[in-house]
Amino acid sequence: MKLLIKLNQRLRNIHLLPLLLCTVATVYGQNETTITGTVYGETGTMPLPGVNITVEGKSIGTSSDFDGNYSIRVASSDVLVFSYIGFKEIRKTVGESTVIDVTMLLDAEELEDVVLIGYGKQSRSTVTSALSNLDEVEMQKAPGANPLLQLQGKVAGVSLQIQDGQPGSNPQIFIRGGSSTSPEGDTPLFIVDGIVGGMRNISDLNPDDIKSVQVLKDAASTAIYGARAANGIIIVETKSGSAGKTQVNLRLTTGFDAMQKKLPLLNARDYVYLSRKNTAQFNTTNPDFFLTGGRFGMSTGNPRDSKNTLEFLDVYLQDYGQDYVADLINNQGWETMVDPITGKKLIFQNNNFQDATFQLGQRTEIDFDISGGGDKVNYYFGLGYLNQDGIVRGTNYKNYSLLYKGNFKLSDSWTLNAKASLSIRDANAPNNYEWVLARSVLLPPTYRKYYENGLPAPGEGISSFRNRLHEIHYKTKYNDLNVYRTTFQLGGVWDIMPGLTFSPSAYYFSTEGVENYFEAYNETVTNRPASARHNLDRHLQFDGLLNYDLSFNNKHFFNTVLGTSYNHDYSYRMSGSGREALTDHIPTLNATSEETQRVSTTINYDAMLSFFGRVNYHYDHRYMLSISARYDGSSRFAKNNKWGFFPGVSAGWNIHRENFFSPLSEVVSNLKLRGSWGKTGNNSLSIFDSRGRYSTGYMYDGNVGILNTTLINDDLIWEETASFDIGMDLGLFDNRVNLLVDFYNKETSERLFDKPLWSSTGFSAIKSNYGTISNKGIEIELNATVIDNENFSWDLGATFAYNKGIVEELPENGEDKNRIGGNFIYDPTTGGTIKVGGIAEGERFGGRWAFNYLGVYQTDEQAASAPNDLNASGRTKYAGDAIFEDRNNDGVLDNRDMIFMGYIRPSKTGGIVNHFKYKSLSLRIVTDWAVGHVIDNGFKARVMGSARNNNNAYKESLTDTWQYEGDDAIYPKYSVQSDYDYNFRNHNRWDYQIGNASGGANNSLYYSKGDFLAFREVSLSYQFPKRVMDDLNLSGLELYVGVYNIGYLTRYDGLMPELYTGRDYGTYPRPRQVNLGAKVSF
Amino acid sequence: MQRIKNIILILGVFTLGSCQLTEVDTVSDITNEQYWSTQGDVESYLFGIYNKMRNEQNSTFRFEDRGDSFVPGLESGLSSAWNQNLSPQNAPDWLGYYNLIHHCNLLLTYGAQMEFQVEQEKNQILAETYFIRAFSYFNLIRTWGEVPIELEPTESASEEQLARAPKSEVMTQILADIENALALFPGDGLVTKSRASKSATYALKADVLLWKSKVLDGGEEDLLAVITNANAASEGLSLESDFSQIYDSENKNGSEVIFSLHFEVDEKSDHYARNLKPRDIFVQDAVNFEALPYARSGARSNYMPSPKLIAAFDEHTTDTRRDASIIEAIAQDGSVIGIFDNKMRGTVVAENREYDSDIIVYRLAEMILFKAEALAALNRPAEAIVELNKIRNRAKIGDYTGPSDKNTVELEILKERYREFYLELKRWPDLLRFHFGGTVNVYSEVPNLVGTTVPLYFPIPVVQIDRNPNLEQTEGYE
Repeated sequence: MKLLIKLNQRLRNIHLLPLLLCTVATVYGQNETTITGTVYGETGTMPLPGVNITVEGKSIGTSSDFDGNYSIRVASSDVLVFSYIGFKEIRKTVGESTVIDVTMLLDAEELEDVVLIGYGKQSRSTVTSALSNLDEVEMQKAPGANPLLQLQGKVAGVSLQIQDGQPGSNPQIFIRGGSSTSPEGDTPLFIVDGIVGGMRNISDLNPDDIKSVQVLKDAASTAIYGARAANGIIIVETKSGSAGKTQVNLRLTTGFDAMQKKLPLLNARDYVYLSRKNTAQFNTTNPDFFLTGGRFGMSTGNPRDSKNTLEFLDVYLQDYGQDYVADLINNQGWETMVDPITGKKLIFQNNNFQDATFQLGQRTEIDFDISGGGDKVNYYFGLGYLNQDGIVRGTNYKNYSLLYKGNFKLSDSWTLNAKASLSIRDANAPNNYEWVLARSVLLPPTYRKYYENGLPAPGEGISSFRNRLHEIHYKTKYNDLNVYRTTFQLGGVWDIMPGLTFSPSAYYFSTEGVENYFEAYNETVTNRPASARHNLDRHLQFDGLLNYDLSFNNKHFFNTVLGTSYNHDYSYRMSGSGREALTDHIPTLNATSEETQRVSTTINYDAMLSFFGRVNYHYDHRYMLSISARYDGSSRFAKNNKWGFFPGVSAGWNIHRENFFSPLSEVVSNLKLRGSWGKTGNNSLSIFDSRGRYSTGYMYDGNVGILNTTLINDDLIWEETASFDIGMDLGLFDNRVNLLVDFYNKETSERLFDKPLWSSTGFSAIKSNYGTISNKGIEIELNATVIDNENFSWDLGATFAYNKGIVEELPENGEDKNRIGGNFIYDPTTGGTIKVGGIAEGERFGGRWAFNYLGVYQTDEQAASAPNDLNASGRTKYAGDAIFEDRNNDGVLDNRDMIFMGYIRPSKTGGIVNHFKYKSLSLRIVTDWAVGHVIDNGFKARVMGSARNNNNAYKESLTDTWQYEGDDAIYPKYSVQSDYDYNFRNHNRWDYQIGNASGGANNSLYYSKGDFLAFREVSLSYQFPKRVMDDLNLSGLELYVGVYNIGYLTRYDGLMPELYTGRDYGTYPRPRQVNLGAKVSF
Repeated sequence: MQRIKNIILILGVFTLGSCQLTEVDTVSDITNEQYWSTQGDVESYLFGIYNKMRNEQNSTFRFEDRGDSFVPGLESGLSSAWNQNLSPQNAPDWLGYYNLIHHCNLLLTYGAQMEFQVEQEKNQILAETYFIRAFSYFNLIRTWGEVPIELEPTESASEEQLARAPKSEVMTQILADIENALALFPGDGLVTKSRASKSATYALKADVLLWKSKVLDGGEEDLLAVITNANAASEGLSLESDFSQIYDSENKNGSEVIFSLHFEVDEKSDHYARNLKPRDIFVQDAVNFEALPYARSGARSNYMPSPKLIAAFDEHTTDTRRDASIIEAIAQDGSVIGIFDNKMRGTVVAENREYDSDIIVYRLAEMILFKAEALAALNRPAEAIVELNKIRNRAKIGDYTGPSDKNTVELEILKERYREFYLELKRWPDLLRFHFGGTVNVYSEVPNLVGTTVPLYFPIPVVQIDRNPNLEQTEGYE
């Protein structure tokens, strides 16, 4: 308290300083009069302090005081120049007047250069930290649901990992390599219109309402958000109204989404041929089990209208008659062929389950907004509707959004701002991605899609995965999943005195999910399971912000922010389930049998209190200094460790404003050097990590059981990330070329990490603070106006980022480099073994090792000399099996024989945006790329290894798998007996803790580089000329068309190379999207 | 100026009042400092422990796979234990057992300090917990031999890194817990057969002492104690007249059961017996389809009963256990499509079969055969045969008429156990007891062990030694 008062007194004293200086400046001069006056801001009523007033051609000047008043001694012939950052320069000839009042007008061009920083805005020219922004142009024509995707390739240092192509789904996003070795924990902090961290993602935000997206990358800019800012910050600002004529925009977009690429699966004829021939050739123990009895796709023994269609033609003719068979062949798409084993004729239907799973998705989007205002009030009102199908059948995404923002000027000193928004999402995603995307598509093509009565058939006949059409008909179509998001904000700005404002704000943000699931009676699931969930998350936030702007002598500019913030989160979960209803008519729980009903609710709280402050100073726009600090207390830590302190400091030098630089200014119009250091925190832990947890849910014999599930660690403290950044902003040729370059070094210490425990403790891990990792990198953003003629222009934007993540320090554990995890491999340089993998000091993380595939054994004799393959569990190897390199020649194939394949995350990423304009026509071409990662195509390995004995195969299996002695095949033999379960292990191998623990092949045969160049967007828009508009009484009309996610240039042979998890187990790929739209403005 | 003062005042109040703001309630879970405050906490904790114990016991990996009861099923998917290719790289982790032991230690530490209105209720809970801890260590010693002895709950990251204790010390610990349990059980301690009781503790003690005498060079004294404990455990029980009644879902905890782990689908799914059951599509063309214990989902024929087991059943055409234990799917042409478990058939609910048989830990038949085994080991074969015949007669195969020398009778007891307890998680420890007892050579009994030198105890994962350097790998691995 005392300190604050003292500080305040200081500030009061400081403001006398400029007056004194002014006096000094006006002592000399001849034939002069004293001019006085007041400078006002745009409204004409608010005095504007700190305005520079200079005399043209002379070295005298002053600046306006706190009440906007100034006084200066000049000659009558002098010209006064009034200037202020963000406002247009005003020139007044003195003449006879002794009082000159001026009203400064906002300079739109200068304003564009104002960027959002934490709790405030700042002119780009004096910013000293590393940040990038994306304006509404990038958002306006976004094809579909998630605005985050628009960041890809356009912001250096932001890496997006696309998890799936489900509309609205969230990419995993890391800024500057994240701060942990587990990407899930690396999500940056989202701040949407001031709400800090309430939203874990912004997927449901209508891109059309977004004004700008700002990415804060270095700790000097994020330190003001202290805790949780370690992974960078993304600030989103939505549109607001501005004074002027009422503006109405209507935008209509339609389009469709399609798969970029299809899996190269066999048709029924080739599948039957290959799987039956190979069963006879390679399965000598029980071929009949696979070939008869209707058990598998390649089995005969399927009567009329059963799930599978394969049968001998003579059986069909005998049992169902000539006419029936003729109808099948002529009208129902059935085919016949000669059985490669018996020579008898087979009959079957050819069905494509890839087509049964994927579709062409339709998309419709309508956006409508009105904005406007006057002196006292301005408003923005936006309505949005989006209906987008996924490319997986039965999936879609609907979103209704409403946004209202208003500003009210209550009096000279009080302004009120209010925001209310509502969005309703109704989305249906695949219930289980693996079943739908990695299994349903692989159903053998001999299975039926539809029964004779027209109803969908299940495929193989199990409930987990099946014919997607069957699943939709009996299950997916009953899904009813709605999410309601509401935001209310009420804030005020109190202009206490010129330059000093106090802004209190209150925020309420809630997400409510209501989900209902039901499965109707069908042959695979007979008990009509129903379930429901009700989730409520509520975020309350109160901010108080004191802002003080001060400048004197036209040279010293201060901006001081002092604030406090309180965040409170509440989450409520209710779930219920039941089954054995007697009707399909009621999909809700009330129809289920009472004794099967179960219900559960949980409640959780989280709170954080923060105090923060920042001082930005610059001297004459030349020397900049910024200091900030934040003090955060989180409920997640134990009593003595709640509080964390996060300071940040940055400085900059606008060299181009120096006098000595003027000879160069013809070429170099802007040159700024920046440097920053700061510390941020991370509290990604549960309250129970610091207090221990006892959980229910351990029923026994009908009784409620409770167990201690989380080990207490009350020594936990904040994880800290200290980062250091040096950057340069360079503008050439009157800023036609702009270059931003940043080098950074980010070091995260006291990491909150699950420290592995030895098993006899009864726990596998305990949340602990340990170890240090670092991320170093370079980021470059280039923007250039290559051509700028009256009719034609070409703007080019390019980004480049390189990041290297290294583990710096781990707790002493007796191992070399204090390695945690990992395993031994053979080291050819010493002939011994070395330990690799896991995490170790001085090493990059995310390395992967695999068995080195060398080819195929051509004869049984050759195979007999194979090393003992532990994966194959003692199984004898025969001709057609894979040769894996026994690197240490010890006669045993184990982890020691694995070789390094690469790292799972790319080290270099970037993008290029080209924007061409010819008269009213504009063309955008966007590409982005990533290099340096590898992908283990586990999905392909499972297909080639027939992981389920009963799945379709790739075309390569027909042509490139081993068939006979001397066959120089790419792949080992194809057998319908699961390569995995029957211990052949030619395709899928153990991971030995240094490969992919799940979903990968761990076989070099299926590894490839993930490097890609993505053709992200080609779009064309046409703005109707003004005279046409005037005739139509419109203020604008724009038509546009675009294609997004056009394709990749890559060596990776899976569906999508944007995978940074090391393995591909079957993804929901990003669709190719076509967009058509029109925007009308009134 | 006044306005500024006001703001500062507001901020100041906010600051001073703020410390409370970072405290929140925990509603749906309980923190360490809140737990162990009422009697109900102790009772609930015990049920949690049973839940965990059921999870640990619900597997064939440790006590069946390494034996000779299984061959590959229709779908395959064989464990490293069955393949006998256990190595430090693929070794099973003992984490589950030690987690269970941690929970026991926690209850024994904090529950013991609690005030109960009726002291006996507390003693009952403590006794059951001692039983479970003893049972867990018994499973550990039978699987890994030397194991660390953890008797304190884990409450921080700085626990002592214990080395593996000699088998004799582990055995001493097991017996100490058993004595504690016996001393604490009020009366017969029987609440329900789904919970441990005094009888169950006697049964465990008989089991443990048999192991001690045969595997760990115990003495005659131990064998005599096996008989008294088996007798004590048998009190008040009677054999089911019909063998198939033992695992009948309608007859859970029948007259023969001493202690079983309760199983019902809403509490616990994936009964281990599903690994010997067919999916419907694999047997849909079988002539006896309807008689098969198939399920549409939840069944997986990883294993089939082995020809050796079937031969043991087929020694006596009248053996009622054969059809009650295994079933063949027969094709139209009379060939066998596959062979499946028929003992733990589960229940048909809403047109689908759920495998929900209780996991019977001890039943009367085993007490009788324990006695027979102890008597035979004491070289009292005639008395052993009397016990053996009780089991044979229930199975309708008549009295034993073969040679009555010690070794032959012991072989016969082992074979009887094979037929009686197939799939009841007894076979691998049985083979080890009779191997170390000198009756058989396990390396010739188990087909996958023939010609190998794989150690009989399980290895521990390499990563465990990385994390706790005081641990040593099980002898014979690396």
